[in-house]
Amino acid sequence: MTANRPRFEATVLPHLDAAFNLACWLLHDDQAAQDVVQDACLRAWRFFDSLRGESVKPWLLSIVRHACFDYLRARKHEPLPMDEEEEDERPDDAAGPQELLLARVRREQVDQAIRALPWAFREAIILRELEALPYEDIARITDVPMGTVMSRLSRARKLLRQSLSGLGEEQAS
Amino acid sequence: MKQTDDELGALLREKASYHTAPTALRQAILKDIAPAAPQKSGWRWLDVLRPGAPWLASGFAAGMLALWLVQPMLAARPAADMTALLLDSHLRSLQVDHLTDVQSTDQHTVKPWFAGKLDYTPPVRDFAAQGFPLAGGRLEVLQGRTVAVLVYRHRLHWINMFVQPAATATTSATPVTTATAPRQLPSQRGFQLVQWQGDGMQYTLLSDLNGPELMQLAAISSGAAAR
Repeated sequence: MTANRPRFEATVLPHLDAAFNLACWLLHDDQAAQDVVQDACLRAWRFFDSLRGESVKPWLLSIVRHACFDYLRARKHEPLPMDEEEEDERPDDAAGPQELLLARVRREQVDQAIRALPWAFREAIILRELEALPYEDIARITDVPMGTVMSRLSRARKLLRQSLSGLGEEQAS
Repeated sequence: MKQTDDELGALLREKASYHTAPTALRQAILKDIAPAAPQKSGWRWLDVLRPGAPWLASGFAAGMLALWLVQPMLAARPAADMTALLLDSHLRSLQVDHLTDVQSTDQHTVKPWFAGKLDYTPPVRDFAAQGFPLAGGRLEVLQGRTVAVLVYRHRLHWINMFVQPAATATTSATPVTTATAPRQLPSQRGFQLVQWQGDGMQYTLLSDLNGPELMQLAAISSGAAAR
């Protein structure tokens, strides 16, 4: 194990920011995110030997995501990510000139809009837009088929656009 | 539609909060994966000198250099993290009334103040003419050794200069007696560190001042020491 330590530090720890960012966005709690990521890294360290030829970032992030699940399950905090599929499709009435107002939106409003997304949409959008991961990596991390990732992303974008366009409009008037 | 997706993506990347991992978390993880048995102190050192991810990829050689530079500060047994100790001391010193034990811009007041409190005499100089006025001095206990700290000011920044004998600070196996030019160590939590040796002393500057200006003080000070 000891011999692996430099390799662990060189391959896994560079993704610590991504791990922490994901945990913060999933848990909405910095302190909990620290505990969970620390725990996840310990898990990753224990299973480091079993990592073969896989790319490290999605591997670590899937461990972090599981650790977030466990944390929430233990606290029965937030409805677990299944329920989002029941969400109704809303008419796509937010497209159009309002889009132009996105530029006016402030940081807190962007954060708020992402926070308001259901879990599955939120994790998809964080992994895609903030971590720039390819669809297949997101599919692996979130344990769903690629098609589901794409539809979640598109619905997440629609929801974001709706809430952010509304804000831009309020500010403009 | 595609274009607005890209625009939305750009907006998120630009404006959504990105939560970077706190140093405490990084250190907790490094501690978790540290072997239970005490190891060569060298590895502990590399750990703490790695401030961030980009470093991990490219910084091994720099880490070895830093290790070599801080070697004199290592105790013989696996040492606690000296850079972190220095930084903690620096931060503590900035809290109310901790900065200076002897507050004077006069080197002839500060220098005698150290006499009798240490088993060595730190060179005390004022560099007000070069823009770094002496503000005072204090004592710190680091790893069981009493260490002199000189406090300088530059504009609104405070600079702590830790001075300790290079020969006694080093392990007996690797005596370091030669002078070394000032070098910047990897910054820690946004603070800059510069270290050099001369006059048989090891000097470490620590400040939130930018690197080049801190190097300037190091150059002035090490130059003055050489004379």
